[in-house]
Amino acid sequence: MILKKKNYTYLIFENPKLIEPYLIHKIGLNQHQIIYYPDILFDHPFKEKALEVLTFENQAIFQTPPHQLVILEVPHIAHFLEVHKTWLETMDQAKDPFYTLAERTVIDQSVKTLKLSVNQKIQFEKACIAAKLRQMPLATILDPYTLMIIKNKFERNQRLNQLLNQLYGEKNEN
Amino acid sequence: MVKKMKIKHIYIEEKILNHTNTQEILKHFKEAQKIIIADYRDLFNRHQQNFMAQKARQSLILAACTQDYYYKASANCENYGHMRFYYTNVMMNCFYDCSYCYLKSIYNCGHFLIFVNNDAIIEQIETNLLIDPSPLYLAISYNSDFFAFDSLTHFIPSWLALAGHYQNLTLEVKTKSPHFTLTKTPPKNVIFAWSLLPQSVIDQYEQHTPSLNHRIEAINKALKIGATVRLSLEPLIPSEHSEQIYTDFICDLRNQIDFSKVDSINVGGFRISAQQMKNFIKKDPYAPVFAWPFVRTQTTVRYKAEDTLLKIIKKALEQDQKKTKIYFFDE
Repeated sequence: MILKKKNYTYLIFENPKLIEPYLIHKIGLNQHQIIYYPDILFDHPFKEKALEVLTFENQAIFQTPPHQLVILEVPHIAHFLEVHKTWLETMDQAKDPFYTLAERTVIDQSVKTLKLSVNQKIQFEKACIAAKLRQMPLATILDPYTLMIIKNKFERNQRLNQLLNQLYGEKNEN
Repeated sequence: MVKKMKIKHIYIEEKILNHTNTQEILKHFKEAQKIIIADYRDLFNRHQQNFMAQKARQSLILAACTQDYYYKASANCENYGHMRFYYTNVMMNCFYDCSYCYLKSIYNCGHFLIFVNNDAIIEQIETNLLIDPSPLYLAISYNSDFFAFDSLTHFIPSWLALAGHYQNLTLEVKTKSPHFTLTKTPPKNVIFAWSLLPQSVIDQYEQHTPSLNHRIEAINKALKIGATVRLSLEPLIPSEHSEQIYTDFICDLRNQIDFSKVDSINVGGFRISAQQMKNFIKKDPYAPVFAWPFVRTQTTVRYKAEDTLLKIIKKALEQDQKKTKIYFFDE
């Protein structure tokens, strides 16, 4: 069974002979035509083992990045999904984003009002990262720029340079 | 350092499973899951890996080096006047998590790899590089802190023996180690180069590394037994109060280390090729190093403030220039 969730794809094999579920850290398929090592970069409550599967047709699943594929062998799939519901939910939790929602909104709005070109947008985004890393009040700095009316390229370039200096704190740099 | 490693998975190449060094290393990680692999490249070189996620939860790969035993060093490295400047990788990746580390820009994988056939690497270097009697500068810990993990591998004695045997060889062991456990004076042509930065910079940019004071303690132990020591002040990273921080840093070093006993000091900024920077940003876009603006020069990407930082250090080290060799890396 293949189960696609938000952060991971689960490939779950059912084996009624088992008495408990196993997380698979190595899988050999079709007599070793494919050997796949899922990256186990998360906490889990299971025992681990390698698995050999003699015939497996859906080989495209092994194109999944190794940190996004979770392979399990369980006695009963429906029972497993029910019992380990909480663990599966934990696995789906989103990581903290770099920007707050308010910051992301003012960044996007500033790009629009300043009418930045693609290259200028890259420059601006880099400066926003720098300001955030130096714990500057990003939303407060950008707020006035979201209301500006830019009439021409000269004005845009001038405003952008002024903003970049502010975001990099150029005067305080050294 | 080894005690701090929380390794949960160890991938072991089948062919080195019974190698003495493999067995010795495994003794340190009895609880870890052991997974047998055919070739480390099946893991280490595969595409679509998440370097940063792997780095945050490192596994260990034990393998044999069977090709590319050594490389010519990049022009972005200080060569100390040596024309034949090479480096070798007995380990790839590092347990430390320094935000400025360029390894994320060159490797697909963030797991920690050790080539257990250290002696074979030494043999290749003897056969191919040391056969030429001209001076050879060989860095053995560019892509990992080889020395800090010697309690895990015990590889250092073989390298010291090699250096003792070849006078044309200068061996550089770059480290942030808090320990110096050698009790006999190592050969003079082995340079133990400690990477040092102000503690406030270490706190911000070097996760899991030993403190400045612990590194200084190790340096003084090394100097006490007559080891050749270099103070490697790089990569200089700007800060809100760079002048004060770096001036105080040099002053503290001078107070705690007898500069007249150190072999040399080298100073350099953060520098990386444009292509490497592209990879770096892709893998770690919000790394603390991006807090300051960069400039692209003809060959590298550097901090805009690099010249200012170098001037600060030059001024702070002015009084030491007569008694100590000081190398400044600038384009």
